[in-house]
Amino acid sequence: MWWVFLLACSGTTVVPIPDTTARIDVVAEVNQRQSELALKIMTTPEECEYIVGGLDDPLSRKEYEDCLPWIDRQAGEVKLGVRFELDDQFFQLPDLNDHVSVSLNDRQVVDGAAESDVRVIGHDPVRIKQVFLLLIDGSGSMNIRDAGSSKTRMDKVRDALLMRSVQEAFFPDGVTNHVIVYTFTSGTPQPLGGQLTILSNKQTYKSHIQEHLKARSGYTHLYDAVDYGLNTVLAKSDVQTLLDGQTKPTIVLLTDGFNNEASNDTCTSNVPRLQRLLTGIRKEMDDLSVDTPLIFTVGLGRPLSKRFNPKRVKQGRLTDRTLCGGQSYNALIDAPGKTGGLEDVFIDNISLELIADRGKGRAFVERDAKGLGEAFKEVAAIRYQWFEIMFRDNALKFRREFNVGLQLNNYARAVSNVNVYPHAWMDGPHGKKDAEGWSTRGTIWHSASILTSGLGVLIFLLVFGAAVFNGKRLVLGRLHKKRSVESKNA
Amino acid sequence: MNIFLIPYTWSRHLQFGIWSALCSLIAWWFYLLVLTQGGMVWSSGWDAFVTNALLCSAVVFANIWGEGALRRWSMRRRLWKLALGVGISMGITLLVTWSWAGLSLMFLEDIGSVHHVVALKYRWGNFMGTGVGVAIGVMSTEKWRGQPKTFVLNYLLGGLFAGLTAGALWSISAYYWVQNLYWAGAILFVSFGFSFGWSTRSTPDDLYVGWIRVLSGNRFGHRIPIDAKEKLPKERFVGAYPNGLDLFFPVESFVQPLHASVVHNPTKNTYTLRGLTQYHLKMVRMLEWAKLNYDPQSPVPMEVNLSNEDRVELGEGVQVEFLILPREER
Repeated sequence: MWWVFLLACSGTTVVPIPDTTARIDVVAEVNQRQSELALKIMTTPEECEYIVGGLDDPLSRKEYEDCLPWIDRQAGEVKLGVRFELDDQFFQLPDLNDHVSVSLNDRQVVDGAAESDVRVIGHDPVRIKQVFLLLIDGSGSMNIRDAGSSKTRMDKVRDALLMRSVQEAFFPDGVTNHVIVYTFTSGTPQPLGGQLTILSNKQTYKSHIQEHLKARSGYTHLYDAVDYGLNTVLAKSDVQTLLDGQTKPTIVLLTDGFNNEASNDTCTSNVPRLQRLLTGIRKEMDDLSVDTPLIFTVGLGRPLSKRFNPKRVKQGRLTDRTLCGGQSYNALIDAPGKTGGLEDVFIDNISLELIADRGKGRAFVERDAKGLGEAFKEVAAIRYQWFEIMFRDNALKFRREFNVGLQLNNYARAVSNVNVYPHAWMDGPHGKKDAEGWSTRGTIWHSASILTSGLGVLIFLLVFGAAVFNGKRLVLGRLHKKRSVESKNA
Repeated sequence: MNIFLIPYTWSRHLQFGIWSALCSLIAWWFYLLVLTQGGMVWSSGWDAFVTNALLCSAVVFANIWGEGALRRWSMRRRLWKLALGVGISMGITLLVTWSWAGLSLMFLEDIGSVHHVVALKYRWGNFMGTGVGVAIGVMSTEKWRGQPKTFVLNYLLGGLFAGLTAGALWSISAYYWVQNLYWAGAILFVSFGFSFGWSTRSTPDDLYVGWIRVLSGNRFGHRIPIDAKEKLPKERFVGAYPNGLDLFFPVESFVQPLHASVVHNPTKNTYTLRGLTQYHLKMVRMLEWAKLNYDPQSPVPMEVNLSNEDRVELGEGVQVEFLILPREER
């Protein structure tokens, strides 16, 4: 009878969150006024099953569990699966780490703080159309044969670019990509072959690289090359026709040294130049849309600072101490002689890391053709069908119902929020921590282990009195007849 | 529960507590299974009632089923009592849950009416209501005739004690000890069950009876009950008469024809050893002994109250012990 009452009073606007004792709104509230894209929070198993396309194999099952909402109140963590839609169609976006802000009861969850954190993981990656702009260092140093190698640095680059896997990455099946190659030394970067050539298939790409890719001579105007590629090459009308709003321009910068514009340049002289470039890139990136370029950098050689982390460099706070990476501020980049300058020993991975970080890409430092090939393969842009957004905050904030707000900060505007209603008396099993310290989905088997061990203890206590009573009587000899003296003598 | 596994020692007072805790633990797991595996079909406004009703049912079941097992009730009687006890306790829980919700709405801040707030301040009424519900549910299945005057008070205070203990432990564990509601939920159920069972019930004394058991000679292990039926006193004699006495020994052991007797007073549920001879008769227990040789100068025989496992020496070399064992023991 009670169940009839309960069922009659249950609402259909909330659903239980699997493996927890909490409930969640079936439909998250999408802020239509502030959204260009609809940010849909997936709250029901049916939605997650649909987006992973069935639960037939273990991988799909894992994706399904990643998609379902999860709340670990002990760890103060919440996980939600979200997707983006435009006109009721799926809209794929690239890696959204650092592009999503989360609010809890209208207060922003600070990313990377001691008590709070946010993590975004993309799922179901898809390849999109890309225009690759390769900016290859053509300075005199690319003619150097490193110790133990019979090939010049430019030979290694050529070998890497001609690797079958790299060609597959630039021209994958089913997607129409284009490649434009420029080399740079001093002055304006030059298109490979002397005039702008847009390479659209493997054959022309292969022959063009084989025929024209050669080192020249001169200084290394690295920063100018990036600026030129970003603002001049991509703005050319031939290139603009390729960028149809669904194509991602991707700049790949390759160098074997430092930005070097004069004979007396030191790493200190590069500080204002790099600062200027980074500011310019930031301006470009602030207006992120589908056709906003990505910048990847590839270094060939030994890194100046192996443990450099670009995230630690605050905006506008670039110093010579940072850029010189522990070397003397006055050390010349290109000193007379063969081993006197910084670029004779190192490559400026610090500049490369910072440029890639601002350009939302990645930096690679490799020493051989194989490593370079791997780096080139990585630059193929990937977009994701849906995302797993996790955040943690003070666990005490989850001791009543709460509202989670999600906002996409870049690419397009998208705002949504959902209410979560935890149980006031009990919680489900907590998850284990993954390698990065985030809680994973708990299972009922943990509670079964508590049940069995608890039952074991209680059953033991139930018979403990009888065991002690009989044990004591056994020790006192009251359970068995003592042998008499006569029988002992006998 | 099994009367043969419950000796007449201090542990018999804990049996119902442990048994209730065990049933509550199973109820916790079952509830968790329902909550986490998609069985939460009611709205969150019913969370308090469902939680309390399940806890009520588990503890009422433990107490009624436990007593039924000890007293060998028929299955029909057990089920009938269970239905009555669980029905009454759930009804009271329902009443208290919504009464408390109304009181919270009137006298506590707005937050008190929110179903999801984890705070003892807004929940202690539910805990106490659950305790009272269980107390009345169990009490209503008992025979009221012949119960002591404190019968009702004992149950009600026990129920309130269980509710408040469980509430306090739940809150402390949720905010201080383990700082999560997973373990706190288990602690809530187990502590409620244990507190109620321990504070309101003990293994009934009328299921036990005193025995005299021989510890020496050829008759080792021979025993006789001192079972008083229908609340009448009972006296059983020990001596050397092979016929006519309840427990006899060979005359060579200097046991006199009528050496001692053990009297059971069912009103007070006491057992008394009475010395009937001038020959050796001694009661021995840990750090204590009493000689009960008959004194011709005295108009009455010497007596001493017996406790479980007391030893008694008769004549030369004969020892018996006094034991309290289940009445069913044969």
